[in-house]
Amino acid sequence: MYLSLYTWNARTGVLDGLASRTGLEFVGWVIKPGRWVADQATTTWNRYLYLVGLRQENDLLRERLDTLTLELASKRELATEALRLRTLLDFPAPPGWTYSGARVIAQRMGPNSALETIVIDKGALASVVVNTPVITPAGVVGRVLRNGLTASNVLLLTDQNSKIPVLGRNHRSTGILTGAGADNLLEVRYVPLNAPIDVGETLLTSGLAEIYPKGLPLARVTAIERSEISLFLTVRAEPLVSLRDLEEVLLLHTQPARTPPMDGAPVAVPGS
Amino acid sequence: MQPMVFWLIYTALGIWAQRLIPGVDIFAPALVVCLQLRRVTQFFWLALAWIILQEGMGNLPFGNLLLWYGGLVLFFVVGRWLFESRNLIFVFIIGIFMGSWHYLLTQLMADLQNLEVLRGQLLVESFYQAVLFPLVWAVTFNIYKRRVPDAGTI
Repeated sequence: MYLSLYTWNARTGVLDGLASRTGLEFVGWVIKPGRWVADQATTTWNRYLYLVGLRQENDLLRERLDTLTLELASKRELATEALRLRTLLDFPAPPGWTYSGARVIAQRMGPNSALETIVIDKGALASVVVNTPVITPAGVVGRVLRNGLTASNVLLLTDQNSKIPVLGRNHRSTGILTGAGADNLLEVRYVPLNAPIDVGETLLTSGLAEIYPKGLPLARVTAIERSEISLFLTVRAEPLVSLRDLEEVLLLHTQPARTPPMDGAPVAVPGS
Repeated sequence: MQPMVFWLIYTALGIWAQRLIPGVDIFAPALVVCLQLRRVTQFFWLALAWIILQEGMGNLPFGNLLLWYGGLVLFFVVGRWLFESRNLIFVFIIGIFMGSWHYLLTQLMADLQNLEVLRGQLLVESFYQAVLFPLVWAVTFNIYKRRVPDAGTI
């Protein structure tokens, strides 16, 4: 009976959907208010209660204020420059994609979570579907594995089961980026022995899997080894995003295709 | 306190505890408490709710939790032939079983689904499961006994 249930679910995904729509959803309902209460409590503590040694601290701060006023004048020019650069570097969504923000509310939870995942506070109601790319402005985080209505599980790129087609930014050598666990370096598989690739080179999504748009930064090459017995290089890389400290992420959504005109006029085909 | 209220609070706290300790099941000791106190109806509804909850928050395909709790019940029933159900040594042995069962079952299901898991990490989680099980059981059993009427005495 168990095997029948298991194979039926493997074929249809009905029970996975049910668990995501109920169990994962309930987890979101429990954790989100708790996070809000914790944030409010921290703010209240910092503002009103943590007053021990305030007078002594006040004297010290007055001295510091004089020093910092002078320093501020010199930093102001740098700040203006930083603002300009930040505007330039603001994350642009790839063509054909839009993005929305989400908060990380939990890491992997429970005995049924053997994979490296995080839980975010957006789900199907926010147009999050399975395989929705999850990124930060610094680089790729992973993709949505399961989606509830208002919460989703995201498979991190450091998981062993995450396999992303990549190419080098400089030399355009291709390979498959595979995770090796939270504390281990990533591995780039199937890079031919004669492929040009440098230590320090940034790896980008190649777009071949049709999950991620092409050109998103993923990782930086940290080591390249040649093997006597393999046809491929052993390439190690580190993620560009610190996955342990994630608090907010961006979700990439494909833009809906334009509706063809009703009067039979020809539709412009991209690239044609 | 009504049992339903008690278990709702327990579920909320359990979710937060599982958020802090990845890979560990905080609900299994509570199911053992229900079995020990012969709360069969409560056991049934709690097991059903927690299976769906744990399957939802987890990241492996559906089916793991049925075997996980199925193994727990089977071990409890078989173990009662040798031990008195509320015997502390028996609870420790269930903890060790759940730790081992976590390792074996996750490895088995991952293989079945052609997934790779980190064995070192799994081993650490199994150890935590084995150690935390009697502690969580002791806390749950005593609070349930005091807070829920006609819960029986040890």
